[in-house]
Amino acid sequence: MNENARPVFSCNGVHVRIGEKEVVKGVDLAVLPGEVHAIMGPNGSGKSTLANSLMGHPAYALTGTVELGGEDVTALPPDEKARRGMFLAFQYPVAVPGVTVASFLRAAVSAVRGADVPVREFRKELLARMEDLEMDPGFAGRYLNDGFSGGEKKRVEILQLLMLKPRFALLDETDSGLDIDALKVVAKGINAAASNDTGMLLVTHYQRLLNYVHPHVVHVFMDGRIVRSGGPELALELEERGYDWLEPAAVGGV
Amino acid sequence: MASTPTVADIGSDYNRRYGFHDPEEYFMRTPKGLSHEVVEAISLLKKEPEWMRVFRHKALDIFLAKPMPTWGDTERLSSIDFDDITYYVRATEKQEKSWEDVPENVKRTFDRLGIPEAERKFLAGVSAQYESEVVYHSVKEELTKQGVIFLDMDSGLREHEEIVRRYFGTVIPSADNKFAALNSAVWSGGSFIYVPKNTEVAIPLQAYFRINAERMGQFERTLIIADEGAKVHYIEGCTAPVYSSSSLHSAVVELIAMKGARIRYTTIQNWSNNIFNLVTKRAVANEDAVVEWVDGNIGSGLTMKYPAVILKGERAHGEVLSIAFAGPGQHQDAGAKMIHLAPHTTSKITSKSISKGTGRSSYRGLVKIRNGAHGCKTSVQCDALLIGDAARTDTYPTMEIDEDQVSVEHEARVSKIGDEQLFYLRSRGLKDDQARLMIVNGFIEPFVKELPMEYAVELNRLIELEMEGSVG
Amino acid sequence: MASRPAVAAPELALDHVAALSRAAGEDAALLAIRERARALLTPLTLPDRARHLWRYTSPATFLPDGDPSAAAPGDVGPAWRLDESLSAAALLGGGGLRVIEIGADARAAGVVIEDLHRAGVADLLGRVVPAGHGFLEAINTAAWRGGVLVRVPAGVTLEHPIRLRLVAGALSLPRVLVLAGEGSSFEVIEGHVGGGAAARVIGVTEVVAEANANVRYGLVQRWEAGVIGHLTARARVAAGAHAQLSLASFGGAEFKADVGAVLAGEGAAVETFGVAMGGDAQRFDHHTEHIHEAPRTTSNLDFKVALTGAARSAYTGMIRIAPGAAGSEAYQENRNLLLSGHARAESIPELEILTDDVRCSHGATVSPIDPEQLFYLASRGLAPMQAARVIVYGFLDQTLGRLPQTTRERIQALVAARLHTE
Repeated sequence: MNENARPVFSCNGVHVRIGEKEVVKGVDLAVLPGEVHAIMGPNGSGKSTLANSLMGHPAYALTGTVELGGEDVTALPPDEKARRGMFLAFQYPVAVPGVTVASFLRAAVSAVRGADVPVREFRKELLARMEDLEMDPGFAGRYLNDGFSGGEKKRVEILQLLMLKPRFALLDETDSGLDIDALKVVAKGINAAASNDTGMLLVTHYQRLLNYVHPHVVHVFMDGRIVRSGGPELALELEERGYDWLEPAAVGGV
Repeated sequence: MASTPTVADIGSDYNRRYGFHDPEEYFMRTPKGLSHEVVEAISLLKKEPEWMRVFRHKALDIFLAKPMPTWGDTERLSSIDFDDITYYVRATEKQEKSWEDVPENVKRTFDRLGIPEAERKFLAGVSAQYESEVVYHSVKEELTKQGVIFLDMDSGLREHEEIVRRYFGTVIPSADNKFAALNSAVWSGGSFIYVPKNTEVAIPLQAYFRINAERMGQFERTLIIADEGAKVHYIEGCTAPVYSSSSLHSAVVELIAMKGARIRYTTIQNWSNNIFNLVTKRAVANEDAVVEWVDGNIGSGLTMKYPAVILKGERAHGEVLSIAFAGPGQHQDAGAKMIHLAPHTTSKITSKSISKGTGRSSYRGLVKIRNGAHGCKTSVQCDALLIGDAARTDTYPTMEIDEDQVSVEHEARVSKIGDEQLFYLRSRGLKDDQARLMIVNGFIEPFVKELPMEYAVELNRLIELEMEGSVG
Repeated sequence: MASRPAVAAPELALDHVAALSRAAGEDAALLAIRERARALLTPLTLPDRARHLWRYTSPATFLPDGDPSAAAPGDVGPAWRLDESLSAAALLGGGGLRVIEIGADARAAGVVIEDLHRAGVADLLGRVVPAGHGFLEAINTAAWRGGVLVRVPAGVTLEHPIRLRLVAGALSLPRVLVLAGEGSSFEVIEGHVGGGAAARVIGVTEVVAEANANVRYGLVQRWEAGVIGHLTARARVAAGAHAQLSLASFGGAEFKADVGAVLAGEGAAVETFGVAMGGDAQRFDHHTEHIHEAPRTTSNLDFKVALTGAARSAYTGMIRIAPGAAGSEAYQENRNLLLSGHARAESIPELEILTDDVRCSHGATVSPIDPEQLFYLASRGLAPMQAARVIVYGFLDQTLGRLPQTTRERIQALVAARLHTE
């Protein structure tokens, strides 16, 4: 992490509405290259909405500005954001039956890198990353997320993170539904990406993942707002005391 | 998936690839319209045996007496003007065995379509039909040595009259339907295949059908007999030029799988949108035989085609795997029929359709289990994908079950390309049209993986063309 | 195109329409509707058998022998009265409305049950099932005799069901009109009983569910053996309204039913649940239709058939989603259980989808009793017949479980009774 670096990702005054309802009520964030931020908050606080809307999900209306490497990407469709180096690991990755993990990833890698990757080179890289994540090579031939277990889906999300090498990644509840071994593997992947200078924002409900991935900054997110930011110690405090002491009323005026 | 699609690959269109046409300089053609004189002229020209001449005339009477179907796309069917069609057109004087000897214009056509290339690459035998007659035919020598007969139907009738007479019209009698009667009256060309006992044809046999002339009818007739324990895979492909007025393709295909035999019949139909494609295809599967129809319908204005298997012997198995792509203005009315006559017979129908723009795809099927055919199992699965709010899909399945000791299942699903799927793929950098194409390709993957490699690549390319400009 | 000529049929005499209307005390508007329907029947053309609706049953089966407008009144069924489990009750038999009882609560709420001949609602008749629906609906419209109007005012919720009992005579042409006012909520059960060898019934029921109404309509057919009958029951469901149509078919020799709904307003929802049990030489032919015309409408259909003896069943179902009905969902399921080697079932569940923004699926199965299930029950000490009864009961009960309690219990009792006579 470079102390003098400019943020790889920032957002300012972000509000998100679903229909009539405002779910995210003003969020400002700045993430430096290689820096890991964690956003923690109770269920239903709007964390996933924030992650999806930052990536450009069409169901959410986002106002404010989102910048990637100093460039305003607020209004760009998700594929252009991806090609500029933004990534979202989904909480619930959807199945695309009939499309294998390998052919999908090759298309995605080609799209993001802006050039066709030779098949041989691609396969070599894919198999290496799959090995890092302790995945069976046969997985490459399975249909994308089709009939995958919760843990398999999350591993494939991290596999994509490692293959696409984004500048900034949002990880939405990537730790949910994982057993302890799978959690360690996923954490290994996240740490590998971070050491590659990818800036990261982990959206999570639990402290669990943070035993393996050490965030530089922790934000507490409640009722559509960041109510407190601090160092890693904040996560531990949340683990002990829960969220109640941070209710907007208790904090006052944030 | 056989290839990774990218937008840059999308380029050509049907017009350029298949839609060209040659000048209509023909060796012989009958006058327009249908009459006993026309039937007589065709029979005479082919120097046929008397029984076939009589067969044709009887079939014409049946055709004239039978009403048009009152179901299906009756509006489009009613636009066929039977008097404005030329029923027999012969481009060349004789059939060639060497590609070099095929007349230049016809050769150019098939060259542009990549036929001899494909033959060199992976086919055991190939037959190319241009208008009414087969103009080129070649079979690998080892097949002939094995006793495999692969001829065009006219030669088959001349050289193996006893076999043809025994089986011709037994699976699909002339009276089966109006278009089968029409074909029986004016048929010309098509393939005749006989595979001897316990003989396996390891690589596919192929036929390629091309209509070049305007307002013409192609009525090929195919008869495939796989003797006991034999195994064969036959592939056909079809294209036609783009004309303002319509032509008619009405084939009859009869398959006979003897005890323990296995026949796979693959069609990639990519007729231009001015072709009526009204085809009757049916197989008889004897004891322990397996018949598979792999049927891809991409082209034509209206297709009505329901490949059937009559499961006549115990433990016979029938399968239909089909995809249909109905683009703007097209109606793919396709389906399958499984007739279970014997105990412990099994069948499976998988139908996938895509309707885009104003396209309409219909699945029309029949599963029938006769009383006494106990222990049968059959399952039907239809999936329809709709692209655009003017697209239409119909499912008309019929199950007639006269036996209690059976298991019959039918399932159908209709969906559109999911917003969540699109968002997921786009979040990985794929453009909207790339993402849509990927979802469509995934949707038809179960079909594509059953095709030989070259056909799979070709089909994916065709789908790419059809999907072009489908954004939004 | 030369379409197949319709089957030539004998002339149908309808010479006493005016006299019938006058004798029943109808107004001129109602007579005019009858006359227009009669005009549709001259000359009489029967539907094309090639159309799937009539593929399994000949239309001529249901043609009355004589002039239906001159039908002699049939017998009135056994005495039958309102009890405390009902909000209202009506008995329709002998060509007229014989008994009407309305409970105090229902009466106070303004619920109306009256003779349809004299109800003065000609403007509401035929809105859901027009005379042009089919030749049998036209015959009923021209010559119906004995009808009942059920009107539940806006906002009224009835705790107990309204029960209609229709007793078949030699030739019956009953007509039922159910009007569910805006936001009303109630259950109405139409039970068909009576008849005898060669008795004929041609019935039509219309259900109008105004906005946000919640109507549970049950059609229970348990005619005596030998009845040949056709019943049409259709609903029109307005925005936000919910209609549950349940159908239970047990009796008669030859029974054809046409049940369905048009989802006419945004957010309308329809559920159709049916069970049919046939034995001996009974023939059933059920048709269902869910027509989605408005956006964000949902429909669900579950139809189960169990057959013994040489019974035959045909089921044809249509889900149609019209071009403007974006965001709609429709599910359709038909399962058939064949309990004898001579029973026979046909199933044609159809879809016509004209817009892409839909979720739609259907499924159908035909199968015998699962031998594994039989074995399991046998291993617990059940004799084969007993085990079969348990399995059939369970098969039908999966569907019945979704009906309102009173109807469910009633139909469950009928199923149980039927199982014990097999």
